[in-house]
Formats: sequence, structure tokens, C-alpha cells
Amino acid sequence: MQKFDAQAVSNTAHAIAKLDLRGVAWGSLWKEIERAALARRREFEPQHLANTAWAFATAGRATHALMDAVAEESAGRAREFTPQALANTAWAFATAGHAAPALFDAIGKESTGRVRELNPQNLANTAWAFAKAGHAAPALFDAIGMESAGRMDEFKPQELTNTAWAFAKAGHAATGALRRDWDGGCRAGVRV
Amino acid sequence: MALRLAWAARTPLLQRSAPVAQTTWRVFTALRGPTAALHTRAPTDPPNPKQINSLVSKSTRARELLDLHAKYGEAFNEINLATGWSRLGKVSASDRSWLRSDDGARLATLRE
Repeated sequence: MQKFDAQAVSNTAHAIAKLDLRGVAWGSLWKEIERAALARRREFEPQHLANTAWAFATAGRATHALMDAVAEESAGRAREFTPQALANTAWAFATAGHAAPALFDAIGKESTGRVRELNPQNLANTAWAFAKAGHAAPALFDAIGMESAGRMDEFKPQELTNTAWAFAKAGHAATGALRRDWDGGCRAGVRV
Repeated sequence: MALRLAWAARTPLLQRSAPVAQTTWRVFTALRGPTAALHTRAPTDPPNPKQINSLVSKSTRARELLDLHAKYGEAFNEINLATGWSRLGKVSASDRSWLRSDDGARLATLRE
């Protein structure tokens, strides 16, 4: 594993998380991947950072050392992240319950500015992550609310409920347009 | 024509024609008996890492990937291994479920 380059480390972590290999036998491999990731952290591209955070959070193997390193590397490079990478990174930190205020600030600012590039899953995951992490981001919630309002028919039922939950948890009032479209979207979701 | 002759002169017979090499090998082992293969190097070497990577990249099923590793695992370099993991992460849900059974025991050799 120590010979793997940054992309190989990140891809391997992503694959093992997707395969959902959680047993005790896999613990030592996760440890090895973590060591390799920490050693290669400066070589990681934004996609590698996002995938690595996602993988460790998904597998329930996120450690403070790894998440701190990913947060530190990512915070200053949020502009280079794709919309999906921004959403996945926020989701990973919220899922791992790892506080990273500087990273959330950077993701919030970037996602607000590029909110039109976010697809429904990105919008829902970003809102969910900020609410779950308890990271206040009123401008981001406003932007997500406005962007989502006209696109409720594109949301899957799970994305609708996650977004509704996020606005409620964050204590962020939805605008009139979003409320109206939400009602329509939920009724359509119920019919499905 | 001159180029082809020059190539033929420089290239050993077994590299010029894989089918000829295979046939020669089969006749040789038939004459020497089944243990010939144990004592003599096969005329076709295992694929090199670049060729292995090409095979791994084209595999879409978990069984194919595990078969490749079982066959050429000793020749895998770190890039082949990482590509293998990456491909395994993209197999179908039913293949993933098959790999997960018994705590991923089928993947034990890849873990080492």
C-alpha cells in the first residue's frame, strides 16, 4: 500500500467502502490505507480528498487524524472541487461527526456561489450535511431554497425528505415559493 | 520486404508467431510427458504489468477479476492491484453482494 500513489490510495479506499467490507479482518487494511493517505495527503487532487473522506465515513473508519488532514488540505482548495465533490465532502464530515468549521465555511461559500451547478442530490446532501453538522450557513440555505424551489419535480422522495429535514433542523424558514413547490413535490412523491 | 526480412532475422522464431510457439510447446510436452511443463519454462511469459492492467481494466465481473489475480497475482504490481480494487468497486450490486459474503473471504489474497 505504501507504494500506491495518491489516486490509487483514494480509489482503493473508495472501492472497499463501496464493497462494504466492515469485518474485523479488514481493519488492518483500513489502517494501512489511512497511513498511506496521510503520507500522500499533499499529492491528493480534490477528487481524491472527497473520495477518501467519503470512503472512510461510509465505512465507519474515519479517524481524527485522517479527517483533520483531509479538512486541512481541502479547506483552501474548495474552489477546485466539483459540485458533487463539495457535497460529498460535506456529507462525509457530517456523517463521521467530525467538526471542521473552516472546511464547512469554505464549502458553504463555494456551494452558495455555484448553487446552479448542484443537482438535486447535491442540494439535498449539502443541506442535510450542514444541518447535521450544526454549521450555520443562512446564505447557503437561502441559495439552496431558491434553487430547489423551481426544481422540486427533479427531486427523488428521499431527497425531498432530507431537504425538508435539513431546513427544519437548521431552523431556516423556507421561502413561499419553496413551500408551495415543496407541497407539490411531496404530493407527487406520495403518488409515486 | 527488406524491412520484414530484417525483422524476421532479428526476432526469435517463438516471438514471430504465437500459434507456432503454442503448437511447438504442445508437441514438446506431449513427447516429454506431462511433467515437462514442471521442469521447462513455457515459451510464453506471463503478461507484463501493462498487459495485466489492460486485462484488469477490461474486466467488469468480480469473478473475472479474481481469476486474473489468481492466475497472474504474483506478477501484479501496485498499479495493477489498485486498478483491480477500483474495478471491484464498480462491479454490479449482485457481484458486490457475492464478494461481501463470508466477510469478503474471496478477497483475502488481494488484502495481503
